[in-house]
Amino acid sequence: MTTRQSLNELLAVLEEIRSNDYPDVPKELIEKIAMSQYDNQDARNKARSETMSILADYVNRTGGLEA
Amino acid sequence: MLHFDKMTLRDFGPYKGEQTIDFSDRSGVSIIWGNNGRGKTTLLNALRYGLFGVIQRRNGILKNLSEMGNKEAVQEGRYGFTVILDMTNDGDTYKLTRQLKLRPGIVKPSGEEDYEKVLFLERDGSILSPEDRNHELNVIMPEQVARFFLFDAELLQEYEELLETNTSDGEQIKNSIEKILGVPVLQNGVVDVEDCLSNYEKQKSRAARADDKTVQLGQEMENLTANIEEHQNIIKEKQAELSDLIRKKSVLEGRMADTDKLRNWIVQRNEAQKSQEKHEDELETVQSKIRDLMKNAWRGMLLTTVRDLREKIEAEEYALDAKKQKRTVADRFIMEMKKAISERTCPICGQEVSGDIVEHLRAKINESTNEYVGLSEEERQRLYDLQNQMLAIRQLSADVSDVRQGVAHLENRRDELQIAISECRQQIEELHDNIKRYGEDAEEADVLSISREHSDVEQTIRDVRRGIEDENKKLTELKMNKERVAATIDKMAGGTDYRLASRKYELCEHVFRIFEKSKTRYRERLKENVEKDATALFVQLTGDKDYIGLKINDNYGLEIIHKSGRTVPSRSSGYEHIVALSLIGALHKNAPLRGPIIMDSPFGRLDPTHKANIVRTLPGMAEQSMLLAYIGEIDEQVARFELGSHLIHEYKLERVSSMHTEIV
Ligand SMILES: Nc1ncnc2c1ncn2[C@@H]1O[C@H](COP(=O)(O)OP(=O)(O)OP(=O)(O)O)[C@@H](O)[C@H]1O
Ligand SMILES: [Mg+2]
Repeated sequence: MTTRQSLNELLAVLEEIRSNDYPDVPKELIEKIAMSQYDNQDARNKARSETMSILADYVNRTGGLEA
Repeated sequence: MLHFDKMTLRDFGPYKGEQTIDFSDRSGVSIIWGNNGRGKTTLLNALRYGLFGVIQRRNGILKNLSEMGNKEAVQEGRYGFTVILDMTNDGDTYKLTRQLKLRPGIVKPSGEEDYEKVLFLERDGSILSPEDRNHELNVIMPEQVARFFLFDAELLQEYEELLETNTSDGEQIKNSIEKILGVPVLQNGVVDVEDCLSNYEKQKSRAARADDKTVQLGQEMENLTANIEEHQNIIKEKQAELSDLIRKKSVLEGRMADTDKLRNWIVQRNEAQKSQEKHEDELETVQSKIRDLMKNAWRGMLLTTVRDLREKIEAEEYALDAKKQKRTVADRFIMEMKKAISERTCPICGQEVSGDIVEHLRAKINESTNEYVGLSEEERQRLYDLQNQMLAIRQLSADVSDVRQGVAHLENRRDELQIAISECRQQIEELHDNIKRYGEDAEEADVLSISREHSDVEQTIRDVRRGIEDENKKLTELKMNKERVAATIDKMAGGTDYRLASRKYELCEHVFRIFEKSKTRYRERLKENVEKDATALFVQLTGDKDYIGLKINDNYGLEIIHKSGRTVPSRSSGYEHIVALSLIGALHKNAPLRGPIIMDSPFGRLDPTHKANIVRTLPGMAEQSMLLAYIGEIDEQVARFELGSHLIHEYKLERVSSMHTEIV
């Protein structure tokens, strides 16, 4: 039996989908959101506002997806 | 990964004074041996208290914490207790202190309110603020998943609920499983990103409205969005209602199980009361029928007397009648003879009647007149009376004969009913005693209303579910509309503002889809992995070689697969236990959250082979584990042999008094 590092497993699934279906979204953005959600499972409001600001930061910096 | 280094107890339950149990910082297994009543479950509770501040008793959570303070210490004037946990998690060192102690100024408490709760958490030597402390504890060990770390083996059968569909207990366990596996990370991500998405969408429609070409479409878009939000809110409310209802249902189910016996007694008693009433009603009817019949039954009783009387009357009547008859015959004879004398001719043969014959006839007529005198006036009256009496007697004895039979039949029934009623009374009395003894604090009406309430709640749950479905249908329709409008706006290619808003929206949408798809895929993968790992463990644990694996369902319930490929129906309690352990082991392998396993009396139901298999498998299930076992629950030699170098420590819980245990 192999032991798995399961947050890695979770991140790996996100990465799998991102790289195959939505490569226009950067990997770090997804990881950042996932980590914030992981760290704030007991604080839903904080998790939500952090997620919002992570997205807003990126979107405002880059102007969203290239048309 | 969470690791317990040591635990210090002060006056906690039977652990009088200050006592420390060193789990060491090494990986492996500790065994704590203690006989019944020495304090194994109390140790589990000490850990639970340290981490979550609650103490679990068989019948629920301990309300008056102060009860846990060592009784002998109380006599010596020490009140309250302390649990200190030294632990490490991902490279950080923690010291957790939880205490129940007297409020300042109080020497002798008069109630729970004279105590206060104290909690400290030091991380790497510095004390954390209350917010940081709570957050840190939640991260190290969330209470919802405690069941996979601290467990009382007797509760392992609750995992059987996972094989049922739609039970609220099963739902709760499933949620805990997903929680330990990290599914909420993605689930919450989906929800939060969707929130962002709707913000960007609003920006987009605002931009469309600001553009001359798309003012109207922008407006329509905003309306649709508002409409959609409204329905989403309704759904949210309904979902909150639903989870409330499900919680309520599970509480009711718990209470139903608790009061099952009581409810049966009450139902039986009510039935007995009903049949007593029925019998009493019938008895009433029977008795009134008997009374009616008895009204005429005196006739039955008089029947012999009447018969005697009748015979006498008949005899007298007969005699008088005969006398009357004879007289009539005699009268006719005298008349004929008188005719013969006067006409001198025989009225029969027509011959002449001679003088001496005439003489003879005269003598005869005299004789007859004297002999057949007929009835006197009195006798005639008497005959008349007798005839009337006979008439009365005949009426009297009409239908009298079957009354007696009917009464006898009814009397039998009456006796039967009386016996049945007294049996009912006795049964009711016994049930009443049981009810009183068992349910002193349970209101009878409550107990019965629980099942009624339960079916009401179930009905409401169905209604709310249907409501949610309907709302979802409306929502899908609105969303489709919105997409159409959005596509039209996109085609009309608004100004730069619109295009910018649109690009932001799209990015966010992609992020949303990534989380959404990942959630589904992660769940699928978890199920595969949990099934695989549980099977691997199960194969090591099982003593039956025909059992070749486990199959997982959507609730993470596991069924045993027989080598024929079929699932094993209604497995035994021992196997329920082994399957539950396999599941817990597999969860530990797949969870982002790692920690020790502490098992309280885990071998009770198992045979020696399974006991040895579990001990052997334990070091592979978790980095750190503790076995709380009574002496002889598993053979010490077997345990030591199977664990080998994985066995770190053995402790014994030694009795000093019934209220004082020492850890040695
Ligand atoms: N406040 C207290 N002060 C002293 N002793 C206490 C206190 N509360 C409970 N006890 C005693 O501590 C013991 C608790 O037993 P516990 O349930 O932990 O035993 P156990 O080892 O799990 O036993 P079993 O094998 O029967 O499950 C009991 O004997 C109880 O009488
Ligand atoms: Mg116990």
